[in-house]
Amino acid sequence: MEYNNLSLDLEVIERDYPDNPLEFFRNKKLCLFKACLEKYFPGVRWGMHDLLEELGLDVSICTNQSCCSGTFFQRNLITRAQFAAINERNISELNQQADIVLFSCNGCYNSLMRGRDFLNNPDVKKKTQDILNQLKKKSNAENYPGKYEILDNLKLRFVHDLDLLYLIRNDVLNTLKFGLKELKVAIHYGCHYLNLSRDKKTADAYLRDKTKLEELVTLFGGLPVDYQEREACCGWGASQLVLHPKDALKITYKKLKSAQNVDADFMLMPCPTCLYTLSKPEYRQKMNKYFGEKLDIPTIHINELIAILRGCEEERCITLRRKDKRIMEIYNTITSE
Amino acid sequence: MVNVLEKGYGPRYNDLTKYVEMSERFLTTGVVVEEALGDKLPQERIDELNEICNFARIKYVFKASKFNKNVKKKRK
Repeated sequence: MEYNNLSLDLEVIERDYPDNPLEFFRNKKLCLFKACLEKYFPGVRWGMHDLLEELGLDVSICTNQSCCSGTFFQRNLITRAQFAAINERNISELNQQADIVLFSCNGCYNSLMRGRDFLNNPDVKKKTQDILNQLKKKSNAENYPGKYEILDNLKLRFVHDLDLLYLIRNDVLNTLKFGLKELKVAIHYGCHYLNLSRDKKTADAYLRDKTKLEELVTLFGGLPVDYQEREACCGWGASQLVLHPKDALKITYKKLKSAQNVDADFMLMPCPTCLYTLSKPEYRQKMNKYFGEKLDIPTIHINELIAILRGCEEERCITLRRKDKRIMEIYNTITSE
Repeated sequence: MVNVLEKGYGPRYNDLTKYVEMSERFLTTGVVVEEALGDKLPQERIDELNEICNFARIKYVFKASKFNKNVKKKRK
């Protein structure tokens, strides 16, 4: 276990603020990391933004931030040093803007810490600094100190949206206008959340069952339902969905089918990439073609669900006027009298 | 249950063209999707990404995509 010190230490917050962890975040600048696939699910970002504003926190959208580039590293299109250099530039910019960065995407959250972990290798660290030095030479102006340095002892911290929502769940509950009306909810965490060790200090924290989504669903009045493929991948599998679509979609199919088999009303997850894979109509059509069954179970991100439960207007928090049939059934069920 | 997933989004193809286009978008806009939500990345940061990615495979994929486009145009 190697703990990445960029991750926010949730245990310390729980220890120091046992009655109201939200207080820890007062007077701190928060920013929401822009995950590329949020484009298709605007409520993932705007729902969270609106919630944190209602809770009185100082929150903004991260600026000057590029894609985390994890997708290119996974496909061997950039080296570790290049990945780390892209990462360090993002970290420097985020450090200018915020004390705490929030991630709605399992992949981005993992990537930013992974880039830092690569610097533990002295060769990669040297190559990364060489690249940053090149940028410095070509730059017209270094408009803040350390812009092109690998910054040690950063105060900046990262936290996954789900971990924050769980930590401040009682405050979130107080903002809700609707309940889940005992709807049956199948939970999907995603591989990069279930198997991430970088933000865990102990083996116990890493190995213990992940139940934060189930606990949130119960708190909000829903019924988490167990299903056989709960811990399975969404099917994205880095490039597998492109290289071996039938095999990858079989995993997606088994997951959705397994949730339908237990009569889940919808599937809930904390990652827009998993949401993309489990929701995309083209994939549903292909699954129908490959496996002869049309699966209709709706899917939703935890940030979108909370926005609906809060009664945050559809246009402001959830769809940004881009009507999405994927969540309309959930939306209509929850908000109906 | 009614099919609530009729409306589509994202690329309609599912082959390696996807990565060529993602590389192109990353090196020209800093993100991998068209018309990403929020503010655009300043040109200075995009230039940085191009500098960082010098001699990386992503650059060759990007160049190849431009070459293929030119060939297609000439054929027309």
